[in-house]
Formats: sequence, structure tokens, C-alpha cells
Amino acid sequence: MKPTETLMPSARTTELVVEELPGEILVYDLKRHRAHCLNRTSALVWRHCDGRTPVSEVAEVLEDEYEVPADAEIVWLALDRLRKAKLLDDGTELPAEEISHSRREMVQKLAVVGGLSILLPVVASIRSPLAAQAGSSTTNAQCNQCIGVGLPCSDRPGRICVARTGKQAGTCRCQ
Amino acid sequence: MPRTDPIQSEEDGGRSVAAALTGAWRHQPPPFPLDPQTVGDNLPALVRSGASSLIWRRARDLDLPDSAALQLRDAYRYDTLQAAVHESRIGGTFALLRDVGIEPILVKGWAVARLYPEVGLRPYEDIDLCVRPAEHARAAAALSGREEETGIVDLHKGLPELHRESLQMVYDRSQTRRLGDVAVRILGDEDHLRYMCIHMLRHGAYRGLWLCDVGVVLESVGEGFDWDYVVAGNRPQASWVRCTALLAHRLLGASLDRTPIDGAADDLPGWLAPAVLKQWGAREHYMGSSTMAAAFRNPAGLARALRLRWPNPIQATVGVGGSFNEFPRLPYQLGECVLRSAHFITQVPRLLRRQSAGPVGRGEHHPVTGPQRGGSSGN
Repeated sequence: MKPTETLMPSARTTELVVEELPGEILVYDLKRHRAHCLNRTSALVWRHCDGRTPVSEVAEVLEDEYEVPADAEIVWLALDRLRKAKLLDDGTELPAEEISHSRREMVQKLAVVGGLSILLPVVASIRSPLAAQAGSSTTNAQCNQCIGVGLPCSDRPGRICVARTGKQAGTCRCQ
Repeated sequence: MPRTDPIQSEEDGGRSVAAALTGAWRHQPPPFPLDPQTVGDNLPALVRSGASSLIWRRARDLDLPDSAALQLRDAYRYDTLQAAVHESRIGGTFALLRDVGIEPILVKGWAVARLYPEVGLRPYEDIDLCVRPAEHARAAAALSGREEETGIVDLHKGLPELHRESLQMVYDRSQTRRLGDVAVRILGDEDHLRYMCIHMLRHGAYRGLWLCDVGVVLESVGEGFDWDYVVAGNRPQASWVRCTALLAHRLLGASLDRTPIDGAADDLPGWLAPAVLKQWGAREHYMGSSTMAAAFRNPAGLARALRLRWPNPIQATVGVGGSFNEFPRLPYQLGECVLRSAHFITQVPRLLRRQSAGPVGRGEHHPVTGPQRGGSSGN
């Protein structure tokens, strides 16, 4: 089987909250308390992560969507970024050679055809607006969102924001 | 790097925040009055207002400095996601409590976010629920260990800060609103407005978002809205609520059509609006500062820590139960300091016990923190 005929991996479907905005998809990871923003390319690739569609077919969809030449490298690059953001099924392995090849190819192509940059897949982390306000201490409400772990809770005298373990892993509390 | 104007006072910064938030809760907000440079210069104050999403909605078409655009846009994205997360958790939390025969009332959060054009325009933190004091322990037990489903719930024993004669009156006037498949119980319009006003004042009005909340509630109340009931009770509380509504009108352009207040003629105490603007434009606030424990270890920082904790006139007046009038605020501020210190002293044994139990969590352990009274300031 040629690399481009490889099937798409499966997207993670559990413990995620997904919201669509014009031109992007927002994803909140309930397990890790992380928020991500997928641009149009990443979103399209992620939507096709069904474990059945060939990678080459997704490249064709991208080409139709953007009306610029797109090939499997773009799809592999997007998949690599989605995997790093933990948005693919646990344990998803991507062929290392394809990933490294796709990076090299993209760099070369972008250098030649600048217009291709609109195709670049982006999976950006969204920083909590509260984190921007958190200084050398946190508040109980911020801590509840795991903002300021390890910092004293300014509105809970004597308490520190700690990440909990065991059954309550992934949550935080001033204690 | 954003330029920082050395001559801009905190009050000037507060005026920029007020301009950015004027009418921001409406479906058709007025044109955004700030230029991109002013947004960049005042970005910390704008973000600290808690209303970044509202500001982004109005300013997104401007050619904002990159850092401002990034922070405001990310806030909008984050709040949009949090709204979806919270909406699903609210339903689960109500179901858990109703299963054990407890009917809670949701305050703040979705109860006010639902009034905005998009629920993601207002940030969410925890879920604030009021239950009857006699049911509090049972409610806490029902929610214990269920954080995966509910997120963090701040369970209130009644709503003493509403200053109503009885909680039953609050329940009698409460209403339900659909959230998906769930009927969520929220406060009646009058109690809701009163609660949002008092909540803002108790926390010194330091977030501009809270006055937007008052604005959106004022403009959303239904037919039969009873202003007399909003301000019922003793004189200080009536003055707090009336002045907050007038502040929302004067600073943010909220309509007072549903109230008997004359926005043009009625007077605010001269100190009040400047005190709010100063809060909004403040470059630092004790909520984001080091603890008093850290300050005691570093005497050079002690003066600063104490200065940050000097009660602002709004918080001080509400803290000691005074009226909003033209009398000087210094006696109230001194009174509030005495109350805070007394509260702090009562906490010392517990703090010392905690200190002797050893460090908790990661990082430096701070066993003693500032003299602060009152609950969380969550949204």
C-alpha cells in the first residue's frame, strides 16, 4: 500500500467539548483541562479522522476546499499536530517517515509557492484569560480551573492551589 | 511592547475600560470608541475587567496590536468553550441534587450569561448554587466525589448577602428557565438584580464585567418588574442597589427605563464613580498579588501589600453596612480594617495548625495570607 493510501486514524471522541466558530473549531479537553483552536485545515483533517477514509482522499478534499494543489504531506502534518494535542485516539501511531518527510516537503513547497501557507494546519493552544491575570497568587475560582497550581490562594487564607490525584485527577483545589 | 503612558491615572485607565464596555452586552452595541493604540495601552486593565470576550466582539475588526488581538480573541474562544462545558455540567448538577429532593437556585454564571447575545461572551468559573441551610450538608454529600460531572460547585447556605427577610421569600419569587432538557431554577428578576448589585459592591467593584451584568439585567427584566421590591429592606441596602443601577447608567449607558431612577437628575455620591473607575484602572490588585505571609517575610514589600489591602471605599461601606451618601468614607475604611483584622486574628490558630501540618502541594507553602473577609469573587 502506498503511503497516500494509508487510512486516516480515528479522532478522539471522549471527554472533549467541541464548538464550531466561523473558520475554526474550538476543542476543550476535559481530561487535561486544555483548550485548542483548530484552523480550517486542521479542522477539516480532524473531521475526517474516522479510521476509514484514505489519507489521499482527504488531500483531495483539501484541494477542492482551497482550490490550490494539496497533497498528503499537508494531511500528515495536520495529523502530527492533532496527535501532539491528544486529539487522536489514545495510542495512535503515525508513520515517523511520513511525518518527517511531510515537514521537509512543506518547508520546500512554501519557499516556492507562498500561497500555500493558507493550507498550513494549525492546532493552537488557547490560554485561559484568567491565566493572564494570575500573578504570584491565584484565587479559589482560578484554582478550580487549575490556573495557578502551586500558588497560594489569595482568597482562601493559608491554602495553596494543588492538583488532585487519584479519582479526582485533572481537578484542582485550594487546600 | 505596548506603550505605557506615564501620566495616565488609574481613573483615566478606568475610563477606557468604561468606554470599552459601554452597551457591550447589547445585540447591537454602539460603535467601539477606542482606537487600537488605546486598546494596546490599556490591555491589562481591559483583560482584568473580566470582559475580554465582550471587548473582542466589539473590537475584532480593528487593526489591534498583535498581543491585544491574541489575548482578547483567546479569551473569546476560551469563554465560548467554557460556556459549553458549564451548560452540560449545570444540568448534571441539578439532576444530582433533585435526585435527593433538593431544589437549588443557580446564581451568577449561566443565570446572567443567558441574557447576553451569546453565552460565551461572559466568562464562567465555578457553579454557584444556593440551597436551604438545613439542606446544605445533604447537598454537599450528594455532590461529593462527583466533580467529574459537575465541575466545581460553590454551594451557598442560603443567600444572606441578599438581605431578605427569609429565604422562603427568595424561593417563592424564583423562576425556572430551560437549559437544554433541564429546568434551571434561578432568582426572580428583582432578587437577581439586587444580588448582582450587592455582589459587585462586596468585591469592591473591581471587575467591569459585574457592572455589565447589572446593565444586562436592568435591560432584560420582564413585565411586572417591581422596583420597590428590589430596594426593599433597610436604607443602606436600598442605597447600594439604587447607586449601582445609576452607576451602570452613568458609566456604561445602561437603560433605567424599568426603574423610577432619573438617570440625568438623580445624584450619586461624589466619591462613588471615581472609586469604581480607579478600581478598573488599578495597575495592581490584592487578588493578583503575593500573600501577606510572603510580605511579612520580605518587609520591603510589606508597605505595598498593606497598601493593596487598604479597603476601597465601596467595599468598606458595604462591609460595615453603611449607606452610600456624601459623608467621608474614611471612618468606614477604618471600621472595615478593624473587622478584617478581627477576622484575621480568629483565623490565626487554624493557619498555625495548617503550618505545623507541613507544606501542601507544590511550591512554597504560605500559611498566613492577607486580612481578607468574604467569600470567593467568582463570576
